[in-house]
Amino acid sequence: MEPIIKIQSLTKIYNEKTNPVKALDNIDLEIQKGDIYGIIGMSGAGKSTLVRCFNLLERPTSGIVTVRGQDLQSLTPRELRRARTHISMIFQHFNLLMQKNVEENICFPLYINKVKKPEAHARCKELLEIVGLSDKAKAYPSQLSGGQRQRVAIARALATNPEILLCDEATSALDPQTTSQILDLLREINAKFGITIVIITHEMAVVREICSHVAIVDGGRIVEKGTVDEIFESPKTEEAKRFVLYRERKVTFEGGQGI
Amino acid sequence: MSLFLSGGFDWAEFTPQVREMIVRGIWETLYMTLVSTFMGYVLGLPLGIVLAVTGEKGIAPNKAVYGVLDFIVNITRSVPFLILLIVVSPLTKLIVGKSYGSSATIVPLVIAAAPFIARMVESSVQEVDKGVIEAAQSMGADNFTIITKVLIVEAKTSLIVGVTIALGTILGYSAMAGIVGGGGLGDIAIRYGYYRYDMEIMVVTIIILILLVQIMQYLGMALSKLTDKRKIK
Ligand SMILES: Nc1ncnc2c1ncn2[C@@H]1O[C@H](COP(=O)(O)OP(=O)(O)OP(=O)(O)O)[C@@H](O)[C@H]1O
Ligand SMILES: [Mg+2]
Repeated sequence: MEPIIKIQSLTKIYNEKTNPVKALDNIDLEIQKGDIYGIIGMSGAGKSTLVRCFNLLERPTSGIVTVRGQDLQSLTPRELRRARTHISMIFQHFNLLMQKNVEENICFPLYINKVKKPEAHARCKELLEIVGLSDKAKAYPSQLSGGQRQRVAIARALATNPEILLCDEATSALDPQTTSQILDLLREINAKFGITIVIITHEMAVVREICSHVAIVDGGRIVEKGTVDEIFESPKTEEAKRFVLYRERKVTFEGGQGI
Repeated sequence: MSLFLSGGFDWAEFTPQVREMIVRGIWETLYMTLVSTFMGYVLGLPLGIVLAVTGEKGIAPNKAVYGVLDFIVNITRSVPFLILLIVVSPLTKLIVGKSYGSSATIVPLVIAAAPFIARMVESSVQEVDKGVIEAAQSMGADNFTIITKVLIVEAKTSLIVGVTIALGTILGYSAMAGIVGGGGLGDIAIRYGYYRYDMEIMVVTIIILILLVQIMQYLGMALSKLTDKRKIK
């Protein structure tokens, strides 16, 4: 089957002219429709850069990014904006409009897609039910907890019925219990709507809990990738071994917090 | 009689004519300030947004556009207001028909205010959280939508504070224009206080100027707080 996300020889160098930083080094990756794909690595490994190339928030220096069969770099700006409505993203710090209430935040992507107001409101109501915040439509983000804010962000991300949901450290600002609830919600979304989910995380516990596949990123390269079971059972590379064992120990000793 | 010669405050100075003049001065000052601030924003708001958007960290960086606008703003900002007042007086005469009085003062006021307003707008827009802009981009928003639905909306509180500052500054400039017969309270203060040593009238006009600035500050700040949804009330 044709993968929904296909990355070929992806390299990203920041500040090429002044003081070059090679954030991604010749990455190849394929993600199949319906996967929950974890991307794990140390701080500065290049995880965010990688995922930001999936919707071209970051332009690759070289390599090909194919999403839903489209070579994103070949698209016109207008076509790219269209393509992005199928690739939603949620963030560590939620990135909600702080001056707008929950309903307005969730309707924003619908507004971008020129959905009529009554239709948008109806969709918003559905989404609030999915994320369990039906009573908060008129609340402002400042009046919500971190977990609730991420639920709003998830509802907003789902508004346009995307095929892919990219999550950049979506649970890193949340406590373990809230993290677990958000992960449950993501799993439910994956199962119910068949949305492919890419999860960037520091926490091995997150990968263990919901991912089907995982790629370990180190120094801008993918050092190992495969199904979660494979990687946990028999990590092949030194990096992966160290990573898995070290993280496992951290998880056991520190109660699932990771670093 | 004057305040300092008599050692007391002489209310007799305030004949009906003088009182009428002061009331007219208040209106003229408000007229100059409000019209100039409004016109200043008509020019300065788009200019400031373009600066923020085309700047190095903006959503559509453009060195050429930013460079030119940045230069113009800097030049205009570095001319002292009094000098600007005199330099643009031929232009003023062309537009308004005369170079004195409150309507004439609006021309240099707008020219002085627009670049300064543009800078404040630029900085308010730059303060908007990059993450929120990125979220909008990831949803497929175009730059126009990001400007109108994200940047201006999220910068709202800061923009209102900017308007408050602009009003106070422009009111101060309008008073300065009194030196060249610019009308309003500043004109009265200079004519009576400086040329005639009539301290009572000068002091009263100055107090009124201070009160006007204070009221504007108070209203502006109250409005910005009232419309700010970022803090839990
Ligand atoms: N805009 C940028 N300009 C220059 N260098 C950058 C930029 N963004 C990231 N980098 C560099 O690229 C490398 C990878 O960064 P990236 O943010 O992708 O890492 P990460 O794995 O997401 O880290 P973290 O876990 O801390 O979020 C780092 O060395 C970082 O300093
Ligand atoms: Mg990151």
